Amino acid sequence: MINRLTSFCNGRKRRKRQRNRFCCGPRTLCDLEPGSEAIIRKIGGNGAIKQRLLDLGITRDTLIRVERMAPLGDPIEINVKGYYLAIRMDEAKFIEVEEKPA
Amino acid sequence: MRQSSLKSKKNPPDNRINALNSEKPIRIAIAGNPNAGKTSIFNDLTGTVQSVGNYPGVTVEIKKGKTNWKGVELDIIDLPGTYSLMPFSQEEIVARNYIINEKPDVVINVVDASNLERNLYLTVQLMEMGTPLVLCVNMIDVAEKKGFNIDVQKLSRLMGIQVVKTIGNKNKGIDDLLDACLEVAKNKYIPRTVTYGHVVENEVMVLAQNISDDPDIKKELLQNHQSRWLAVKLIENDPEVTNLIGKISKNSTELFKVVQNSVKKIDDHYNESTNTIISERRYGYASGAVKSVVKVTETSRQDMTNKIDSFICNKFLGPLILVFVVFSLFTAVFKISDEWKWVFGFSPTEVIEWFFHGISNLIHPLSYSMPVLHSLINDGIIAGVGSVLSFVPMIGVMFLFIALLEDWGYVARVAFILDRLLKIFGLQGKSILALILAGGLGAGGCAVPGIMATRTLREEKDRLITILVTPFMNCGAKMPAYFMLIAAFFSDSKALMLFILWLISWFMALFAAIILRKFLFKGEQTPFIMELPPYHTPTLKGVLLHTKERLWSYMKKAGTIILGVNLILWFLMYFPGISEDKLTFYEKKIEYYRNLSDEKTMLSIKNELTREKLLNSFAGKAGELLAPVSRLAGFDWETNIALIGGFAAKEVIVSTFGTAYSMGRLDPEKSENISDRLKNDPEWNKIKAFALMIFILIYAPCFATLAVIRKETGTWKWAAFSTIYSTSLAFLAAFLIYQLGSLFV
Repeated sequence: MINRLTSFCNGRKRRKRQRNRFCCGPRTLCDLEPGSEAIIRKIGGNGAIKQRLLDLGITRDTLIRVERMAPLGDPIEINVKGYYLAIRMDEAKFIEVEEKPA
Repeated sequence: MRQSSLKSKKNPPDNRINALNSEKPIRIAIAGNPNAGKTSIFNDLTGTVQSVGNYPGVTVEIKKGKTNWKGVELDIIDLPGTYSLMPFSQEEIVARNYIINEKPDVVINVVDASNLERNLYLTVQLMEMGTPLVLCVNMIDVAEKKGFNIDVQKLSRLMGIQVVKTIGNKNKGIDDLLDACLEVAKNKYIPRTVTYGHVVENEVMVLAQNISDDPDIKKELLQNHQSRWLAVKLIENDPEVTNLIGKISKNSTELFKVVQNSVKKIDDHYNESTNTIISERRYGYASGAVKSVVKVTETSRQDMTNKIDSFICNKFLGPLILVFVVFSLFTAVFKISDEWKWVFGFSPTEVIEWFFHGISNLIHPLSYSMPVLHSLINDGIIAGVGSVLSFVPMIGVMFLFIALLEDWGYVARVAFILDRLLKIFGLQGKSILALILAGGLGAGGCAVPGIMATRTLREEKDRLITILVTPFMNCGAKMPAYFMLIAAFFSDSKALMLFILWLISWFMALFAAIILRKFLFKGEQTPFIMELPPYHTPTLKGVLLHTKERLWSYMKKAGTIILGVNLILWFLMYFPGISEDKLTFYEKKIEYYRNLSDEKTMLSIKNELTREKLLNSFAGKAGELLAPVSRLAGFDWETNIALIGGFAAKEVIVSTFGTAYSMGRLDPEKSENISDRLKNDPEWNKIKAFALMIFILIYAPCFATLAVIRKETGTWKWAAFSTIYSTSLAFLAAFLIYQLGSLFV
């Protein structure tokens, strides 16, 4: 019973990740699990959003860590340059990253 | 910290500084990131000599203060907190334009010592503008506790600006800061230039040359700006600068061609957009500076903020804590201001109400000798000022708690937790505070503090939508009207009716938010990227100053507007009045029954007189005039007057209802009499009553709320829009309920 429950949960998690992958394209900030770290590779998005991200220190080659998700799964809290930022998935998908192995 | 300050404090001011005395006061602007402690530095510098104003045309607040240091007058202005000087938000535009147009003698750049790298990004942009700069490295104690050791001398040499260490909330280092400001103002140090690498620099040089050669730009812009700064801004595609140059220069098309060419060259060279390169270079400069001046003595990977967040933003605990905090806040606001009788056996609100009641009694003798003047003072002025001031304890307590939560850092977390839920309705996390304060918990509230709480929303569209839907909540002032109608027609299901009204209010607010987002505030949703600032223990002084300042601005602005409106309403309900003959007729009649000691008949005649007066007033005429339309929703002329009165304040609905139904003035809290009367009136039924309740729930916000909408949005446009859209919506709803309901009954 417990095994079935766990596998159901895992399956759900996997499906969720696949869905995220599908909508955000490969290797963006919204693919990362809480607790994982990554290096920023590219910032997409148009003028205003991109400039806002850059102004807040989300620049290439910066280390970024996903701290946690909000209770409803969006937005996420990240740590960049030593401070904390809340960012919606809508914006997180513009940040392409390269995951650092744990 | 610099050594000079202690010495010079005791010594008499030296002659050089005295020489400055004869000149104009030195103007100092404070710039910096949000949460860097700008406000506490400003408070330390100015003490209590402050004033708050809105920057013309925008809702961004600016604070001004004065101080005197070593015989020199200093005018200090607190610019809005910004992360950058790219003009993408109102705050950024205001901060930048102030520095460009007003040319302050010194700009103090407050930076958070624990978060130096991101804070210095703004510093780099300020340096680039060529303003005389003092860098104020604030909250140095927190940084030292974290193990950061900052070499300010080295930083000063590196950037070519004065650097001072401060602890804003402990008032430390302020003397050094003031000394540095005087020195910079006198010597006009110009900061070092930041460079962007040879590819960008080449293009900047070419462009700067082109700009200097342009006669129009030379005439208009070059006294205030450096050509290098303009060149960088053009390459960055800064919309404001580009527009400005397009406007003043005849050769702008050629210039823009050069710009495009430069941008393309840079893009091609780096295979990345020019903006990215420039931002990265600025961050590169900042991080380089941090690496060379900050020594990390101990590293604590899990800091305090993260630990607290792991509870407060936890999946399960987070929402629970949030509900608890919001509920406590809500209870505290109403308990402390109105329900607990802690001021000599009365509540603060009662004290204020009784004070005005006292004045009202004091001038009562006037009513015989000069009835018009008495009515003007009593019903117009005292009722008006009283209604404003009776909100003060409630708003004061609310501001106090909000300031506490804000200064501690919780408001950002509330937004983080609830953002997803409210995003569905086109709102965002911080909107919830406004809705709850306006009555979202169903136990009464007030839209005035609710709308004021939207100040924590930085995104303009989200803020406007929140302001426009907040008045739908069931505020405490709508309650008496509900109670009156429920007691008359739904006395067997009181709680259920209130619950239904509560549900409808939330439905209306969220529904309206979706509609507004769809049709009025179209386009992409504002990106939601928000700093979760480190937790700081709030200081009593900071919280009190914050509260005082907001409260005072409420009393001043809303006070004048509400008073004016009340005078107008008084005029409309008093004039033109009834003819002299009729008045004498009624007075004789009253006199007759008084002599007979027939109290009952006398009172009923008095009430008839009041009703006659009201019917003959402008408001009464308007009520009659509207009757043909309002009858479609089931409202007669008496109801119309009451609803018109409700524009001023929703409490007025019950009292005007009473007057109009010739009951004399009713105490809004005691509505039994009018309820009985309505129940027995053959004209009234359940459907009519329900339609009226829904109308009251939805229709135009009261004048106090409108005044606050005006104040918070900066224009009457939104106040007018709010009135019109909610009243039409209310009429439509009442019409449908009445017409459909009548079909079935």
